[in-house]
Amino acid sequence: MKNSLITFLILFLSVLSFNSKTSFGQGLKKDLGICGQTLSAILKFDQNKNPYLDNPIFLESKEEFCDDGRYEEHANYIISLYSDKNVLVYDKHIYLNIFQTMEKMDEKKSGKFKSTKLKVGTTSRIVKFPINEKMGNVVSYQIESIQEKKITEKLKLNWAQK
Amino acid sequence: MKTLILAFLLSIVHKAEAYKYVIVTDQEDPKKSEEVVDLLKTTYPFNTFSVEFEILKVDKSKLDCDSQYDIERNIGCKNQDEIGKIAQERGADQAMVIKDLPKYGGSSAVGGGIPVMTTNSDAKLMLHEYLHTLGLCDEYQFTAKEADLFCFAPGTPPNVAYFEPADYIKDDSHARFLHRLDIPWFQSILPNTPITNSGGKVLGTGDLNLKAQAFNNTSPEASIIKDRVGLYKAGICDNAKPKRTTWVPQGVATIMNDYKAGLGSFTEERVNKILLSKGLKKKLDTEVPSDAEIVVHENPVELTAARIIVNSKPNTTVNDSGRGLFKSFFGWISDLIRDIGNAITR
Repeated sequence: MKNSLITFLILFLSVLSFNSKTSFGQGLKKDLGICGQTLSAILKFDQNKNPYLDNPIFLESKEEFCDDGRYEEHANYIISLYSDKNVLVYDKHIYLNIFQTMEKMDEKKSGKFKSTKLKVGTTSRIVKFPINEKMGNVVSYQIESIQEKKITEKLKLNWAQK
Repeated sequence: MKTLILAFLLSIVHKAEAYKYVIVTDQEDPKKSEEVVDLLKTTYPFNTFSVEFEILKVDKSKLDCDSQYDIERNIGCKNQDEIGKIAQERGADQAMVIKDLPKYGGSSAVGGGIPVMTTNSDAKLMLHEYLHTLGLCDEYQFTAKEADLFCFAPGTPPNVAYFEPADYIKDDSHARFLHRLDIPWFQSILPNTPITNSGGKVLGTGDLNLKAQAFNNTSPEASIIKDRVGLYKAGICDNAKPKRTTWVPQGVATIMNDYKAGLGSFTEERVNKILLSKGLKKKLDTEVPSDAEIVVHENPVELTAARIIVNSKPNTTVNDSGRGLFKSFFGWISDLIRDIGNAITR
């Protein structure tokens, strides 16, 4: 009983400590800038164009978005966000496969694939960024292709018109 | 006391914004979407993450998906942009499409696009397509045309290696030394699993037995019966010009070869790692899985889950209690708490 109480007390205090606005790490949390409001965009890859972000929007929700997916496994693109003062405020390593795989099944009962058509066409995926007030106005971005060692020019975020 | 602690732990975990799957479908009774949700909720490692599902029913005209490239059963959506935006505005992290069509087939904008399948296909096909989205590639043999495109593309998928065996191999240790950088899963091969046969002279752990299938793991733990992770010669790029020797980590058919097969221990491990790197959170043993929310999409503006702000300025009243800093440290604390919680529940 005594041990349980101690365990509970430790848990309670540790959570309070980490969630408190006055906790020792709060200032750094903000500086690190991995929590904030959700900026959602669609990363598009087109064989004939440079990759770009489409339909960037802010999503407002009750929960703050803390980005635990900043460094995706086998990432092939790095997206960097810049403020209106031309300061790099966030970057994210993400994976986007450039192939479309059109798969044709053998028989319905079988799990085998009869044939596949691969196409390097237009592929896209949703990407989320945490944006907080310390970052200022996020106005532009750059996309670096890790595999091709290419980097786009700084592009303006064309906010979705609703 | 036990209940109090568990309630307390749950209250901590639920503060985080969960990763969200939005399945867009035009099926009147979204049965197939529910099957896919159930599959993700029961298949390891997907079943170990705390995620949110939403099935979004849309009008048939919203899903412009049918046969593509004049090939029957090759299903794709011409309006993937629009579909992506509908899901994005619902707060999705990952969109999926299930098109109401009597044909069976699937397609995937591989690696993060929008996996698509028809209602007449097996729900497991969506899992296969989703693994493409996560970066895994097919393990079956490509035709010459596809092989020429795929087998020489830049990048290395996590589940296939392309390299020719060294001309001279003295023994297994020598082979390991020579090819350690060629095999993406080299670290997963146990020291007592050889990567050679014929007395250490020929590269390859053994023959790939496609008649055997990886186990469909619906438990909350990684496969107990481990398929031996090694180096198995596959024929994926045999039709390429020039031919490329390919290798896979598992000696049986996995879901990337036959979509009715299981993931296999190696793929389970890799997928688990990929999902963690995408920011998905593990769920508590005590977490009760919620049903997928089914939403009928009539007016996209009214239905938008989160209010959309079209402005470059972030909200200055943003919640200040983010736990971002100490991401790793706090993650460690969370894991510790989770372990304690799990220990108590057991």
